[in-house]
Amino acid sequence: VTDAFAEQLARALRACADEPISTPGAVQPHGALLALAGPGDRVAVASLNTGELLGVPADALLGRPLAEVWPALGTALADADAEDDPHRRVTLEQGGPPFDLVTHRTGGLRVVELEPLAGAVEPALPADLWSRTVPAAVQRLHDARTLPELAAAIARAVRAMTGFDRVMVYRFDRDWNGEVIAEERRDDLEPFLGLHYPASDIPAQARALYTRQWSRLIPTSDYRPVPLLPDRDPLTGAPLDLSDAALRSVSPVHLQYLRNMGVVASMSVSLVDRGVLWGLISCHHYAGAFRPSHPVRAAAEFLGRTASTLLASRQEEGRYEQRLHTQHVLAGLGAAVGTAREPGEALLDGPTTSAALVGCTGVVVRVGGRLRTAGAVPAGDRLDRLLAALAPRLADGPVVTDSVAALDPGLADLRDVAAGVLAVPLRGGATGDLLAWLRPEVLREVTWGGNPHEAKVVEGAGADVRLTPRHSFAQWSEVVRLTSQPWWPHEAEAAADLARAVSDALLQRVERDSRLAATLRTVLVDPLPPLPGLAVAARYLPSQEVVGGDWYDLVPLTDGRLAVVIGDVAGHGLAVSSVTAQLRHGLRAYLLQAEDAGEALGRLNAMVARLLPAELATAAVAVLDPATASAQVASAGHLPLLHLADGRAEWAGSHLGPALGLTPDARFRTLQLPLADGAGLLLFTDGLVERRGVSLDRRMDLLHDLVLGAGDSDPEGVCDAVLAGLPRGSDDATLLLVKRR
Amino acid sequence: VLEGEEVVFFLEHDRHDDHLVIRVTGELDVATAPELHAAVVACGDVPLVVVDLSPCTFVDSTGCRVLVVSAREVPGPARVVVVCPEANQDVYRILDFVQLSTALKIYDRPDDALADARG
Repeated sequence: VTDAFAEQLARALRACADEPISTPGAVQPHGALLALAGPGDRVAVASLNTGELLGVPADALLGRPLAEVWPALGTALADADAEDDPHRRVTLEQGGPPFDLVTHRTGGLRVVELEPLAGAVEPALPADLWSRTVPAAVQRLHDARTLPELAAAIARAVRAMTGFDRVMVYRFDRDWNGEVIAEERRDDLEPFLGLHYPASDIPAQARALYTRQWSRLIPTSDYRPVPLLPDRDPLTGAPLDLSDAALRSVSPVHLQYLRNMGVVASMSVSLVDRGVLWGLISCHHYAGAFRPSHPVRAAAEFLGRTASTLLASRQEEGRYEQRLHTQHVLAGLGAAVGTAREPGEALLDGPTTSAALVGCTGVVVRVGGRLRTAGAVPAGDRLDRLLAALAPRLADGPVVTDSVAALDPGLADLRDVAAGVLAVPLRGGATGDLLAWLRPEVLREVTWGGNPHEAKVVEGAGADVRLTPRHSFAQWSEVVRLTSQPWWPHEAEAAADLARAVSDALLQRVERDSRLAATLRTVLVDPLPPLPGLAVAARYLPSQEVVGGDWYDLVPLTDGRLAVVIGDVAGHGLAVSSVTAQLRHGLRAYLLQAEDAGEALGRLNAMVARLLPAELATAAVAVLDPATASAQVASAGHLPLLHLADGRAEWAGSHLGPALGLTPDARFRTLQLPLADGAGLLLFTDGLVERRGVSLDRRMDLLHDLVLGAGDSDPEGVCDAVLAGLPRGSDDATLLLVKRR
Repeated sequence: VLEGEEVVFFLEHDRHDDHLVIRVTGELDVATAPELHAAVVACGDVPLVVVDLSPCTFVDSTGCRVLVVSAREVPGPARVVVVCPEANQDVYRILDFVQLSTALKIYDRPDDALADARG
């Protein structure tokens, strides 16, 4: 394909897309069209065949009130208005030949179309049409339980009613390619059932027109268009809009297409599911002209409209069992998610997993920023790449595709695990949370009615280049690659339902957690009591919400002694807070009973080893004794504390014992520190000084300098200075300063 | 990922005389600890699992916990030891403060751990 050719083709395609199909300025010759203006219904536009069909030439009609030319038509229009029914059968004069009249309005004009009954095909007993034929057909449509049955019933009923050689029910796929899903034909004709037709056979603007005008008829594909006089709407100067006109002349490209297929007469009736063009009832006749009368077409259109209302329910009923299964799984997952400690776990590790909800070979779940997978999923950075490609699209809602490669050609290598993906975003957790189901590539053979890649051919040269439809309709098979089994609408719905359930659970959790956390916080850190002879300040900065793994405590002991406690349980958030509460209260009790702080930590360590085997915590205790002006310090793997005395700050109290939970029989030493009036101790947790990318020693030096720099400020002032000088990291951070007055 | 920085974390598995060495690169924290836990407990039928923290740039208390907990939960006869050279101060200091060595043997180099296992 040369560049010049590609350019020609692009220009021709644009020209085709721009073709004014709703304003062709002409009608088909089997009827006459009049457009009336003003209160007097004066003829403003007439087709040039009025002389031939109605006996008065177009130029003799223009400007005259219609009722003056044909009083019977004036009466018919008044009746049509009164009965709100645009269809009439009329004669222009007493004893004249009958015409079928249909009228509609466009802009400020009333359009009247007249088709002579002569030459039309009508049932032998026209009265039977609406009293017997239509009711029986409607009954059969309703009797159809599944979509294939419904489609077959439509084809049968429309062919019986209209007498076309071939009646097909066409269904569009997502890309507007059509597939023949039901067919009734003359026995000697070659079957088209199962054939696919490319989207380009019916251009987008034609499809747009089809949701508006439910049926179209072309009695003969080699007609000569009849121009309108004048060719513009005299009120607006714009070309007359024939979108709703039954006689609208069609695109020459389409006529050529029909002729290439050997089709003489063609009729189509739209099938519309909830406002979207779903398919067509497409009727072909191979000899003609062939023109079912207006009432017959109206009856066929009525069947199309009736079938349209049944489409949704028959599609669903066809998958009733699957839907039941889906609902069952959904209910189980919804309940599990609502009660689970972690919704992500419930989705993949429970008795019912999300893999069972939608048929798939792999599942990816990201809840609260935590990624989990099950089954076959892309490895490592390929999965990241897939998720990155989905992320911007998920901002607009679910992503349902049976071709990830079409979404992003760079992901074609995922075909074996993720040729197709159904992904739904989650709310209430972290950004980027999602549920995704994956399917591998399935090679599928599609048989087209002609090579779809040569559906349109460029003809002519230079500025005259235009598209002409293909000539060959010989069956042409191709293997579709890089696509998975398609996702059914009920699967996408189930995925969205599950996402809603998970999102609700996450949101409820946030709300529940914040209430719970507010309560827990009072358990972990009481407001500081007034303490004689001491000035105390504390800062408690959990990384999430309002509680975390840190705690501090002040425990009054006998003889005026006071235990000052700080601790840190590994982990963040609510889950770890309950462990924190146990340790805090355990240590309180042991401090009251034990000989010294080291023994209390020893008992606490035994408790962790026995009762909380999966936990790790550090803690430091300083027992202040005013009688001896000293402090007895013990530590379980905690960072050192800062001893403030005589205008100096010294690190003290590390390496007195291992963290709680490391080893069951650990021993904890104690250290005696002098604590005269004005001296103090600063206790803190690692969140204050641990920072990625900055060495621990440097941060501890900084803390040391900040405390010294705060000089003789009261403890509140020192705490403020420390926090101002040490930007927060991502961990819980706690700080407690006790000074003797 | 913290404050928009690109944080890399990955594990490398290596076999040495039937022993498994898991090299931990990046930051071992609340976000990445589960991955290490899963890797250690899935070690299979090996006598020794060496968790090599030489290329590790950060450990927090959750990281310490996962070392201890996965050592306890490792199936079968496997023993878990840790490698962290003193030169890796950012990590070594934390292990030292926590006194992790009371629960897990800590070596300077993977070879030391493996040599020790050979007896």
